[in-house]
Amino acid sequence: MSLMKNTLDILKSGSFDVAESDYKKCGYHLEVKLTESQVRDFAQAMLDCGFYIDFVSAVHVTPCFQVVYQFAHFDEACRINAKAMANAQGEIPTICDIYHGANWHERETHDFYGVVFTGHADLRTLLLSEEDADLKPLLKHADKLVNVETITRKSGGDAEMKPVKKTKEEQTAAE
Amino acid sequence: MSGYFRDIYTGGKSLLIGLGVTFKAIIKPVVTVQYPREKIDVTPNIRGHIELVRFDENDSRHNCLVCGMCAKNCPCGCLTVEGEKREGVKGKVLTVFDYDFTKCSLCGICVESCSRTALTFSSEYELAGFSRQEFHFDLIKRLEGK
Amino acid sequence: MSTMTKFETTDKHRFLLNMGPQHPATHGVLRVILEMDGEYAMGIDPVLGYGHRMQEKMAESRTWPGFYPNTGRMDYVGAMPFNHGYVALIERMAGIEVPERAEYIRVITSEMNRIASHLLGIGAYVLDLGAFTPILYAFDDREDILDALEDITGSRLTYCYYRVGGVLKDIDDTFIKRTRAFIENFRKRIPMYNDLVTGNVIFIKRTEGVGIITADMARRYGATGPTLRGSGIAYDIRKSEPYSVYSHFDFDIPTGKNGDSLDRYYVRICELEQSLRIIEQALDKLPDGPVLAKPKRAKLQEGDCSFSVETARGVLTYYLVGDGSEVPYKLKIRVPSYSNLSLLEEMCTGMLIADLVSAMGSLDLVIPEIDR
Ligand code: SF4
Ligand code: SF4
Repeated sequence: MSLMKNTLDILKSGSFDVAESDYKKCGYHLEVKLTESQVRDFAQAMLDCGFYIDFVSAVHVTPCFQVVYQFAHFDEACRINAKAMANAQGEIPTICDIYHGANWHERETHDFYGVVFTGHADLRTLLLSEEDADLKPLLKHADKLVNVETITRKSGGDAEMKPVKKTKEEQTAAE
Repeated sequence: MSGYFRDIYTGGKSLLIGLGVTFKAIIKPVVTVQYPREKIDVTPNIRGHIELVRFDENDSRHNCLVCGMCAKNCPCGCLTVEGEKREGVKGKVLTVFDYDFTKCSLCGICVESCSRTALTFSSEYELAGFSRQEFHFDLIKRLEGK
Repeated sequence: MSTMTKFETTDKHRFLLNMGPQHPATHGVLRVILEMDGEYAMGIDPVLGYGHRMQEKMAESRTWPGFYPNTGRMDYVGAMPFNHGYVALIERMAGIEVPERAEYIRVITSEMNRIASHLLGIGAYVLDLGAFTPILYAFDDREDILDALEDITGSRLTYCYYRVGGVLKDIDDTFIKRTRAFIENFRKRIPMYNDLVTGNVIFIKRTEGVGIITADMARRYGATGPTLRGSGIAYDIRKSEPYSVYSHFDFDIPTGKNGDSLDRYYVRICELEQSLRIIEQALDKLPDGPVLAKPKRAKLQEGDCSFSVETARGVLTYYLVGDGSEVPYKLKIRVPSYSNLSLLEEMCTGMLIADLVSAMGSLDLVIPEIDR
């Protein structure tokens, strides 16, 4: 646990908004909320603490994209989930010169969502073909798009899942 | 120079050990099966395509009450279930049970979601055809044909 | 997939070489554009996406049980851990308890699948290097596993066996007997692989010191699995963030020293034995009871949740964002080979092309998993 405490202290002293989270419920130990300008400093701090990069991805919400970074450590169980909102143009600084593995993850995120990672030297399509470069398949339709509040875990709220009401057919089937 | 001879020695030794393994395999019984001519027993639990279950051994009616749960839950959308109301019969009567095997991913969600266990996997694994249409099965016909 | 390469060569001694997408050494449809200087690869640009199916979009367009079959179709060689990660993710999100027997069965089948995957990986790797025989032995052993798994899961490759709340079907005595017989038989076969491959001089010369991955590189690229453990770091999700019932078993994490291709290969060989140990213990301790807690249909709660498992190739992370409906709002699938392959450029620049094939093969890539 010392590693987690250490990291927590380091991140706190770097004035990042970091909080411990319930691993049993959400699968990561620390949750960090970043602003767009903090992303690179945060990545550097992670590298200095010896974390490896798990993935970079994004979620399409209003007002803009939420970019998710996940890091974990080779020596101890400590998984860190960081979220940053991209700016109104859908831009966020790249971390691919700090964590080289982020290169492909960022290219993929650019493929799927159109998030622009400023400073990324090579945002060619990676998984989609070139003709589909403007497709952005994971963008939500307007009727499905929700606000970032909706997908944020309610702190201290009930974690129980609400059972879905049985449909009529199912009730007949159960009889 | 001594390294040269050592290389020859270790190389020769590893070669002989490897050949020894191969030689042992030569005198062992053959494990390959010449498939179309010989066949191995396939477990009855294999997941072949979906089919309707017989009511019981000597009754070739099916068990389905046309609730549509299987079609609704199928992630690949390959089941079409329709029924109609008939006079004198309680509930619905199954008229259409179409199954598109080309799209099926054999996940088993339909079998699981059927509360009447009216569906099961067949243990047929040798299916071949010349066109796609041959794999659009009419499961009611298939049940009657058995 | 980008048809444009990033290389703009003006040097007339350099030329571009396309490796793939149907090259046997790329194990599927991976294309690597190489900028060659004679026989040396001076620039490497992998081109992905030939087998891209947009699994993440599929996950967002159906209710969560509908994604079961897709999980087995990403890494078709080691599908069980992919199943496992997904059901465990939903279980974590919903707080569903799984009966202990089901967890044991999951561990047993996952480990058997891991052995099958490693056997294929080893066989195919040696095949890349020009030795044809070992893959035939490997397939012989793999066949036993597939037969045993077929008997309980119904499929041989793309399993869809785990369910939220347990597993679909209980294992029976035949399976247990069969598995025990396999373990006994396979223990005797492992030395044979060592004789045939590990000790072979040509094999050692082709792999020793080739494609070195350092711990720092692994960290920057997020390499995991045997690719990482070959570099001497004992990192395994089964130990560090034990999921399921892995904490009940006693097993080691084999590591290499130099981080070269030989070490990565040898880590896989050693993992075979560790998997056997886990299966043995699990069979001994197998508790009685139900195997499927009646799953309730449930909405995914609002918020995010992640779950990592150790697949045969490394860390698989599912990251799910729910918006309170039954359909996942977002599902990110972090696949191990994706990160492992991304370090190819740094690992192999300046290498002989024959060594590049050797180094790439030692990553044990499964391309449909990378492309998703
Ligand atoms: S097995 Fe799966 S894909 Fe096939 S019909 Fe049943 S639910 Fe649909
Ligand atoms: S779920 Fe069963 S009873 Fe309902 S329609 Fe399908 S086969 Fe018939």
